[in-house]
Amino acid sequence: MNRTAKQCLSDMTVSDKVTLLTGNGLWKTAQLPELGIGPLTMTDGTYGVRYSPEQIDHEGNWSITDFLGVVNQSADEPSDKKGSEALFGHTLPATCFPNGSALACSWDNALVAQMGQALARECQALGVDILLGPGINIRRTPLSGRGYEYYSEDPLLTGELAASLIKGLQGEGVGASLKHFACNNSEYRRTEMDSIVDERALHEIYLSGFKRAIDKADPWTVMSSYNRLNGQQTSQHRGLLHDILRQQWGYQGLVMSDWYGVKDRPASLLAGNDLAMPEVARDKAELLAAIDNGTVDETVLDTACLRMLALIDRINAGRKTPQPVDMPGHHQLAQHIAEESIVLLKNSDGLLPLDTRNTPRIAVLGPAAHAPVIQGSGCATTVPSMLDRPLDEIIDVAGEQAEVTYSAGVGDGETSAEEALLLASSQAEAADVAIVFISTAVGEDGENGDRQHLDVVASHAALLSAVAAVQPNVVVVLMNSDAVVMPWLGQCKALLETFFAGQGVGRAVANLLFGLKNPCGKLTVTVPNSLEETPAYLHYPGEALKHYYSEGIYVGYRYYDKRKMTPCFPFGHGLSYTTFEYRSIEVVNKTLGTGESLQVDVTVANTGARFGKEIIQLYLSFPGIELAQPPLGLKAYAKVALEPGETKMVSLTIEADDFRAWHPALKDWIVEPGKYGISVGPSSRELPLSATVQVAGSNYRLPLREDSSLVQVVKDEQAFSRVVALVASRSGLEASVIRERLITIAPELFCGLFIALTEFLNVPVSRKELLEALRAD
Amino acid sequence: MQPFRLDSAQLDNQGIATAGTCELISYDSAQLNMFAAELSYCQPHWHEAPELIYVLSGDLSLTVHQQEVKLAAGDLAFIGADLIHALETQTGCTLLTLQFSPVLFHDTHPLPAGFAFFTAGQVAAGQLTAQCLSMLELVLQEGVSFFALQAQIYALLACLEVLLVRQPLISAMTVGAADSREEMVIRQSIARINETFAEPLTVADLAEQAHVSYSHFSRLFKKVSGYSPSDYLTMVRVNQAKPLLKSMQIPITDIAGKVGFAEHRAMLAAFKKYCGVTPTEYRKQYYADFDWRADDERVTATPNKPLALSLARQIMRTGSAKP
Repeated sequence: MNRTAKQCLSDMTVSDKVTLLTGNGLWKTAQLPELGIGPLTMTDGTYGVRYSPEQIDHEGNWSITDFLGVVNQSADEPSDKKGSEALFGHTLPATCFPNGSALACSWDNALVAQMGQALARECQALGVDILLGPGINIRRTPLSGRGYEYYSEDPLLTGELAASLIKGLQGEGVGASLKHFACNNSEYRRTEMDSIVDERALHEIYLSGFKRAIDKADPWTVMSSYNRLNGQQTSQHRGLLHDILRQQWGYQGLVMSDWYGVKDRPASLLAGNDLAMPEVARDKAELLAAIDNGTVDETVLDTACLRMLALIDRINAGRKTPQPVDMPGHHQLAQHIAEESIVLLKNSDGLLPLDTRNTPRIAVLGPAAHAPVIQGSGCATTVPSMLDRPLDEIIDVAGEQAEVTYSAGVGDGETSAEEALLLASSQAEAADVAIVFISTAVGEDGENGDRQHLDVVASHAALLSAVAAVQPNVVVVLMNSDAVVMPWLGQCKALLETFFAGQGVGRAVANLLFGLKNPCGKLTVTVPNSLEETPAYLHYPGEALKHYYSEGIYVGYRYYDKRKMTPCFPFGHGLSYTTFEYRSIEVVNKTLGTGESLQVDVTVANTGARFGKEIIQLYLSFPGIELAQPPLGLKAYAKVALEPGETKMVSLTIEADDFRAWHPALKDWIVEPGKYGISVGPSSRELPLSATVQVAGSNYRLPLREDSSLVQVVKDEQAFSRVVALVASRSGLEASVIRERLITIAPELFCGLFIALTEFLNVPVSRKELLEALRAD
Repeated sequence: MQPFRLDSAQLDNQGIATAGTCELISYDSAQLNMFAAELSYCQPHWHEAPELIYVLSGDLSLTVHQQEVKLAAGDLAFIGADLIHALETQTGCTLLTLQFSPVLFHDTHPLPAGFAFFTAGQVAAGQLTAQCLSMLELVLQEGVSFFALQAQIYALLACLEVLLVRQPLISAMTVGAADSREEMVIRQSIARINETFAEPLTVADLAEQAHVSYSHFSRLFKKVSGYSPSDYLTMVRVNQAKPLLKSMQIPITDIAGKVGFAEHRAMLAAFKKYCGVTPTEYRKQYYADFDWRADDERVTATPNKPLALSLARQIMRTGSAKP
């Protein structure tokens, strides 16, 4: 805190302070001109800037209806309004980049940072100070309505990508808001539900990505979520916002609420939720009253105000004069990111890439070929500045030697229609190859509601069946929020998974289909065979407003691996038009001391005929003796570009902290000593290289009780020595003899130590004496 | 002919139609059409109203009969009644256009039938530009009187009359009676193309319908319109495709069929030849331009983008669109 902030604070009345910590209209913070405090402007969202002139520029003229208009906005919204009003009434056009679920498949930190920079430039052109993203909740269940915004089922990948986006954004002077903190992993009754999460899962899975992003990129703000966590509203959860976020992690930035996410303003401030958004008169009144009657100490208010003033300073320091944005350049970036993110899941008989000399007649089918599904619905929905339609781009890329036909293959309103199916199958039959675009239903994903199933639109599946009946060469291009089940997988030879890949998806798909670009994305979630086998299925969505995360740390691939189940496509999977060979692995340190990171050198070769990029993944296997562990955890990755025949050595680093596990008994992190396995390869289920490393581990002492077994006590040298001394003093035997006998007999003594000593060994010790000997130093 | 439709023109009650968009050739009460537009292309057409064009910015290539004239910012052109003319631009241009209703003239005293152009910097161009600007100022003025507007229209026409006498009229000779029968044949063919472009129409069909040989028909068509018939037919199809491409509702493969291309490949080739971009690129240019992103008949009916008259005034005053 600098002197000016302190000075400013001393000039403020209690009322000023309360005003400063509450929103101003829907999207701004307080304006206190007499104190030299100007408003900050914030807007959604995570993959595109949503700027609503009505709501932001016309201050005071806003309502809950406006807010609901944002939250409930569908990506493909039908509107009563006609013409330009329908299109421009909501928000200004902006680049719609690939959504989180697509972007993450690039596994490319530098590219994600570039997207952050581009978002920042669009923000600054519009005068936006804080972009409300990235949203990084773990994709625990594919049903989650906002899965499309989030990155992965894996916390390390999530944290790394989030850090990159934040660095890109904040490097250009626009603040990030890391959200939704925490455990908002489904949209079902999201403001009422209580996520019940065990400590290990909380720290190792659900908070780990946030910590990583905070450690590496220091987001200027963190946004608390709508849900309860282990009984408490997160915006009022001191354990989360103060003990963990501030004390354990040392976070210095500002915590803001999600919009209308505060239920008790005084409680939220006491918990550490500094800013309540948006403007709610009752919040101000209640906070003033609480300060008045002493429920909230003014020092608490001051601490929050200083954080707010520090944020304002940061923003003012980074604010730039609005510059015209290179929108065509940003469109190209959106295309490029899409190309780097789309995943080739299947490619039988080398059907892709298409060559117009071999397959000149191309039938393009499915409504999404003309009207691609580029994004999800909800607060992140962006009006795209430009749009690449897959059909148009296929025609352009295929060129004049190709004969392209198209029909939607479905009736109005995406219903199955016999006539449309007949036309589609006749076009497919007359062609050399059929490209079928299928998608999930628009508007089913989104805020405050989850998907009901994991299927694609029924009429799209029917279209694919009809096409597959007459045409053996079928390519499916999939546009979906989060993982879908694929009972139709056998009906296609090739499958491109785009998720929601933004406004450049059309060109990206065309470039990939015809081999102008080589697919290089990989899955960041597991694709299940069925909804019923997914890890969260049994207790989703919870009952009586409690949602038990009963699978614990076994989220995503950790669950499939632990249960030795084979998913439809595993985490990390993604094909290329070239082939890569994993040649060698070298673990640089054979043994690892406390607090040391581990370097692993991996050599990979491009053994195919095309330039390509490979995402090298490194997984760690824990000893798993003290704490149960999944077989594999992702600990490092690198995306490497290789010319045909080229070989590269890549150094991967497992950071010291990534050997840790959260011990619920100690309520702290430990590094278990022992032998750790390291596996490297192209996916979580294909790991051709492996090595081991001996890790010294951290010094930790588990609490011992009177009913702890002798075996446990023997492991704790200090406690055991004291017990030996105690027993020796009562028995008259030499301590060394006692020690030897106790060690020998330990495995036989099934009872707790107190009963074993007093009843089995007849050593006259009191509870108190024993507990004294067992206590921690 | 690219339809110069404008259903929602703002006809004021003072006899002047000012419009955000292109040509309006109906003069219910208006005696002058005045509009500004960013031109992309305007295929051969003709109308009863004499027309005066002022190039606000960019380059304009104007073809009247077989004459092609290149114009630049500040230049003006006059096109007499019923002359076939076509407009093209290489790098884009904006125009201010004035069309005079035949009602303004007397049977015994029409404006000269012919074509003239005035180069910026010349005295004649300066005089005409001043008149156009006065006209524009007046039109943009609120509550201006009907007679003041009439007076300014006639002041402009008087100026034009004098200048047209002095300035040599290009190809006025070709509009003589000798050519009228041949020209009528071609006009009929042009009209046929304009009406039936969506059908599988060929040059041979047109020649046959005109009762002349294929080669004679081709030569005659070129002489009268400035274009070979096959070029013209393709261009009409390209121009018909443009507004459809701007509308976001119709799949690109359907558009080719709707405007008479046998398949999308023919449309792709035609766009590359006549527009320098593919239909896909053309469509995206318009999508990226937010003024166009409305599914609005008024906007999608023409490839030429309307320009506010106040902006035209600003360009005329300062030579730049920037304030």
